[in-house]
Amino acid sequence: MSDFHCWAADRIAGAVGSGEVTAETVARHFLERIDRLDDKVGAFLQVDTQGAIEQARAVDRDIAAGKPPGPMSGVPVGIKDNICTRGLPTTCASRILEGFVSPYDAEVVKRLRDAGAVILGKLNLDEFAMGSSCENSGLGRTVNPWDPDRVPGGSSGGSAAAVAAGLATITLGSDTGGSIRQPAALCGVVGLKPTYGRVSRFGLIAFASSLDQIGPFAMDISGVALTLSVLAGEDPQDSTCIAASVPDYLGTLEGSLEGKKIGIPREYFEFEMHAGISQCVERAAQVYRDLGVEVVEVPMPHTKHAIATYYLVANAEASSNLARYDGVHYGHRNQEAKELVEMSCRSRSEGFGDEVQRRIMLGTFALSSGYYDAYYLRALKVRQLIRQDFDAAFEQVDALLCPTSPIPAFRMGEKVEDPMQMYLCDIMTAPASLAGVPAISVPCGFVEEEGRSLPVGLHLVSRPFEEETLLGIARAFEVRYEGSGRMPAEVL
Amino acid sequence: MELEVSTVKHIAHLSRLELSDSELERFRGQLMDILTFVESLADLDLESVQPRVHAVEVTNQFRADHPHEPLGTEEVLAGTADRQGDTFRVPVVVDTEDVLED
Amino acid sequence: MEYEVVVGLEVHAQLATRTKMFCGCPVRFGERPNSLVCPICLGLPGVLPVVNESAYHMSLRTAVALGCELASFTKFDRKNYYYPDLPKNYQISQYDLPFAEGGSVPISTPGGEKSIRLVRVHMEEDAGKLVHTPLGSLVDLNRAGTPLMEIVSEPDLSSPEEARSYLEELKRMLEYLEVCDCNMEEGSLRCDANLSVRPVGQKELGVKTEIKNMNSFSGVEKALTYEAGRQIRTLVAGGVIEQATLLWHEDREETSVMRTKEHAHDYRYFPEPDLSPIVLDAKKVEQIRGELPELPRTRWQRFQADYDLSEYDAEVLIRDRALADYFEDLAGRVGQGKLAANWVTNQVSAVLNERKIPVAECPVSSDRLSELLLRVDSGDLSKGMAGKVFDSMLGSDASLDQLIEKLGGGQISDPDTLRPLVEEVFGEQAKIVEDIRGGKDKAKNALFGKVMGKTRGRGNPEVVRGLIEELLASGS
Ligand SMILES: [Mg+2]
Ligand SMILES: [Zn+2]
Repeated sequence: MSDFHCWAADRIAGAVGSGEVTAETVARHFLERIDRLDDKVGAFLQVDTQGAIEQARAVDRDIAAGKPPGPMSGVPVGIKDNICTRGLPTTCASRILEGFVSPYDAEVVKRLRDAGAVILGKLNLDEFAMGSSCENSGLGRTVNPWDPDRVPGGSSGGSAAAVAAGLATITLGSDTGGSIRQPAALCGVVGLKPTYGRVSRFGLIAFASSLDQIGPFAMDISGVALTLSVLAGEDPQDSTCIAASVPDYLGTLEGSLEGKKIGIPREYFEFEMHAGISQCVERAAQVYRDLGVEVVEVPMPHTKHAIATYYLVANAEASSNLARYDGVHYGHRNQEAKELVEMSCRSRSEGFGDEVQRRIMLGTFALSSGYYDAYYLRALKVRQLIRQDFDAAFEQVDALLCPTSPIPAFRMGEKVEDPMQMYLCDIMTAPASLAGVPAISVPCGFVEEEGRSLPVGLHLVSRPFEEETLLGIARAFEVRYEGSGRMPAEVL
Repeated sequence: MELEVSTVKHIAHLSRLELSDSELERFRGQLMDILTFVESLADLDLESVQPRVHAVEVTNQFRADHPHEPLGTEEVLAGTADRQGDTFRVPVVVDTEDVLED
Repeated sequence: MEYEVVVGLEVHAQLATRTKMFCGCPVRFGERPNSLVCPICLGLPGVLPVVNESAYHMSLRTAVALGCELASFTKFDRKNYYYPDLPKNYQISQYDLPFAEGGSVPISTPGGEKSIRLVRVHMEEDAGKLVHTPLGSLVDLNRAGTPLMEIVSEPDLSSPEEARSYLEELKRMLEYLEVCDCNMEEGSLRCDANLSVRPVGQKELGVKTEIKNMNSFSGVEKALTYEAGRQIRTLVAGGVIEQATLLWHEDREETSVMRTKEHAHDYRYFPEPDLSPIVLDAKKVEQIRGELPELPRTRWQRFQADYDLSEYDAEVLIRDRALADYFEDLAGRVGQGKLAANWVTNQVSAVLNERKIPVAECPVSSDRLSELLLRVDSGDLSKGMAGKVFDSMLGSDASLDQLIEKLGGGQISDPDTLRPLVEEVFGEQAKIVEDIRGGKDKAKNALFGKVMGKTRGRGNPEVVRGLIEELLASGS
């Protein structure tokens, strides 16, 4: 039995590309693991066994025929189930889209396929990406591979758990206020949210259009770097995805940090925080100091307003984005209603879970006549101030450093009844989303809770479209961190 | 922030959600908590601040007026729960307030 | 008390692009339902809109022609409302920063020229089509996403007739600009009206109602006449006007209340996050300005001046840009504006109306017609004969000479050909000639009739009369 699940993505691509192993062998290895382990983890909503083997065989055939191998040849990937895949159900983990099959592939899925990646299936999430624990999924339950009584984080909980449990080499998630970074932190893997506009959103089911961004998860930074090289770049189908040149992120990872400066935003540390987490992050800062990087405090004065701003902006957009699910053209329809408005209302109330309904209501309220100026417009203005905080900070430093989450993975059910508590999970990640800047979560230690080791994530943020810098800085830490690559014993 | 039940009902209607009385009451409480929390923004002086809609500054993105192949009627109608011939069918519209739009 | 009517119009014009506003689906009328639909205009999960550049340029072209002020920065907004013909349940439109504001449309009124000011012009997408049946409503999304331009006038119109003139002028302009085919039956030009009345002399506007569902120019005029009458009667009877949206029913020729003020929508407009804003390109505007065609009103004035046409004739000619082009080509070839105008407004128009065909499909080209008119102008053909030749041209490609020959020849205007015939008649009718010379002037007609008889009606009457006088004078 081989250990492909411990291989980095570029190693798999290299071995498959050179014919050393076949993509099919690799795919079967992962499918077997999913078959054996995913009952416990619950990362996948759909496993496309047949399709994955067919894709793998096609990759092998192309390589055997002498075609130049794609950069992700044979790399097994999982896709968050809010990203459209042609021919496979795409549900957003919502009953309202149960059974929905998209007639088209998302641009990122197309790019992955073209790069030779093998799609294993679709991953669980909080319904419509709304949540920080994956508990809001209407279709499945995902646990944290480090402690099955705890949540994997969210909303891309399935994507983070799948990588942590070695069920996929790379997974795609989406991040609106922290939905890649927070679960990456809670599951002890690397998760990257690229700059807004770096990766096409075409085919990503919108939660909040001005914030949503697709990004990769991997066991290590090389994996997210390789994947970003494949995903990034202009897409004429997405007006907000810009034409900036895409560097070879993998090739530039090992650059020197000479002259780099890292900022510690004081305000982030004013929030209530798990003591073990602040220690881990402080140790990480020390690693950079030891490397000769200047670490300075920077002010980010509007940080405390980020959550309020985020929930107004995101949910206002969501209330409109989710209006299309009314049972008319596709998706769940209530069959009893005799009248149109009743049909739409019932279909939606039956199809959407509580959290989604709550957010639609909040967003509708923030946009409604008489409240727009006081809520939505105000939030847009604070969003500007938050962006200005980042712009000012990046005049001084190349990256910002803080924890990804103020708390480690929490127990299932602990926060479900209190939406406000759940919202505060995004306290460290939402500002970068509002500003549209790239950010990454990298494993940086463990805290002990009730006899369990729970992973801690280091959050690094850099200037727009400077993922290269961000990845390089993250990589410098990764190679010096002794816990890198550690997997949860439970699922090995 | 205090929310009237009637306001919550109105918002539910605008959102096309059918809520039971107990759901309405529960949502009312939760929405009030959230709105109270977001009221912290009211303290900021935002007079001279320009609202920011987009995270990225890009303008004038267009596509050429070239036709693409449509999906095909069958695929368009594939997802609907009720069709009649080549059209989507929905229950009758009773509420005349919505008959025509601009 | 005397009342005056105050009307403002909102016109939705479908832009004449090949594809929809935000996706590449073809725009066509009358196709199989739901056959012109893709994931984007179906509003499937995950899709994104991208602005059709031609739609934007056509909108700019219109705004430049209307004299609007172009916004240096414009953006799209979402207008949120639930309706099954609106797949996303929001319409992408423009709210607080339309791409064009101001501008005007000139119209003629019985009291003289009048300029109707515009509030704004904006771009948006159309909804699909909904057919209500007792067993439910049926949705066809072929039209969903079609690019529209909404043109909103100030309440500068003072009568239903003015409203109609405004619409007609606007329609002509859009046609001349080639930005809209303006087919009201197919819905490519639609109009809603806001109407109020007030006592003459009062400054403040009365309470207005909005009237929808008017599907023809005459429908607009009728609906506004009806609604103005209703409002005035209400006020005269001591009632009050309630702000409401009304539906016009063409069949019953009356309006019904669609919604009242309490049921006003809360559209929750907000900036469309999926689309980037548009910054005005001054160079493009200059290019568009340079390429503007002559507008109908300018042409109307020029036709009167250059071809010495009446207001009415010029108006009939410019109504249709292609007809005006046909006329100009014809007039240029014949060198006689009035003659050309007469033929175009009579014979040619009659054929087009009868056959319900556009000018482009007229069986007699302006080139061919010009040959005929040149013969009329030179006197080689009588008017009656020319009419017959024209009719035969409609069904035959034969040459003009062949057609004239077939119909018994052309007019005889040559005095040398006619003189022997006149002399013959003088010889045969000595009695009549004598009577005339004795002062019986009326007898000339008899003489004339005899000569025409000899030409089988083809003699040029003027030349024949001239020859008769000539011979009488010569005394021979
Ligand atoms: Mg409109
Ligand atoms: Zn389309």
